[in-house]
Amino acid sequence: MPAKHDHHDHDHDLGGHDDHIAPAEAPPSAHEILERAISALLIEKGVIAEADIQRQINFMASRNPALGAKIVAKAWADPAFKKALVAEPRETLKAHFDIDIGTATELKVIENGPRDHHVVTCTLCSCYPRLILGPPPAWYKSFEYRSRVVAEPRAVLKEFGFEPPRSTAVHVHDSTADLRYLIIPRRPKGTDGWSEAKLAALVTRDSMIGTAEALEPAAA
Amino acid sequence: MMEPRFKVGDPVAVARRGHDGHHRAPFYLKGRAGEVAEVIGAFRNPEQLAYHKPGLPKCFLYLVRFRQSDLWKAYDGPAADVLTAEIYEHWLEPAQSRG
Amino acid sequence: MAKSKKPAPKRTPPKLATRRSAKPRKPAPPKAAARKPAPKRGVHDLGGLPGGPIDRAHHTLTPFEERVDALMMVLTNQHGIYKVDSLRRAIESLAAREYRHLAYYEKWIRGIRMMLVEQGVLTDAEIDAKIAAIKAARAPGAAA
Repeated sequence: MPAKHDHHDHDHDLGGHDDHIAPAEAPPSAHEILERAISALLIEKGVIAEADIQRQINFMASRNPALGAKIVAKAWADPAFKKALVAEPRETLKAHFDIDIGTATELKVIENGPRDHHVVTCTLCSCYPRLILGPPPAWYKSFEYRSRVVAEPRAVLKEFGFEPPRSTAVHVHDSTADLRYLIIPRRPKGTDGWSEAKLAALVTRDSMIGTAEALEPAAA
Repeated sequence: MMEPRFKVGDPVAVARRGHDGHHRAPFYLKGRAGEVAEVIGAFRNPEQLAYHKPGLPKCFLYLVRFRQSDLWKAYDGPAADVLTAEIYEHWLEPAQSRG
Repeated sequence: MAKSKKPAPKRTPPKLATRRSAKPRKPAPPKAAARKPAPKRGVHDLGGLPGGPIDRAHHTLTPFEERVDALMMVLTNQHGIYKVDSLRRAIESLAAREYRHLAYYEKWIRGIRMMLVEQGVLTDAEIDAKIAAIKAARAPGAAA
């Protein structure tokens, strides 16, 4: 173990930590300092509390693709649930999963099938079903995805490793206003009788956006 | 509250006009024709909300479906490929039916 | 590759200004007379533009990004200081170069700053003073 008196060329930070064990923390960027300044001022003035931020961080941690996967797995396993989910998503998610998707947006649940494949984007910003799936992946927010998926969806899907046949219509949904979309991917073959937990393991985040299909049983 | 101007199946076009300031009709759809797939509901106008105004009265929002081959000259996917977007009523005009 | 529409004439949108006045300027939605006849593509309005390969690398939110995300939700959903539409408008008002080069949450925190000043919750002067104080506290030789 490197000794603290070891005089090497590399710097030790002011805390005296040896950077064989932990790298020195990079200085905060201008934007990180801006966030700290704004948060500190808002807290000092009593506009918000630090606890508000922590509570929100905790809350968002509970919204993630695993939650979406549970919903999809249940939709696969339980036809009545799937029908209710598509017809009345807000009420159904509240009743079965105690998820409150709020009133600011409406959720639209769409099933992918052999004749129709749906894929979602927000060309204008990054609208996404955050209250179920958590924050969107970086690629969803990228200029390249937002620019290209509306104009050449099949080329984009191919980049993601998925090529629907020409007999399958591709539907691109641009979330331009108050709808948020959750895609139910096609249930893979060879999963009859599987438990919801086992089914959920096949459901990837990308399959709930539409840029991929669910995993095949052998691949999971 | 007023009734929606359009109904499912109506041929509509997105207005081809500029708008300084926040609005949610994308450039690539302006002037393009499609059909109403769904009357989504009434929502506060984001063009007003974006400036701290109440955005009332609520305006109707439509899910409009477009054929990809109508949107992009070089589109090489099958004719059944479509795109949907949510467009507010004040951005829609009646269009000629394509049949 | 799909053809994009005829390119709009180049325009220079106003930069994200740091206003020094104590009174926040209330923005107004554009009047009808201000509307130009032809549609133009805003910096954020990307559908149909040419683009390269999509970087699909996984990215976990950094602590900074988590905080900005949370701050945004707290200010809008919990405290109603402004609507998410306002943040979108703020980000759309960035110059093209800024929009392209700032990272996602950097755009957010810039927009949040603009909204808080617009709504009279904070002033630019006190934000700048706090930034200076934070930097001074971090400088080598500063008191712990």
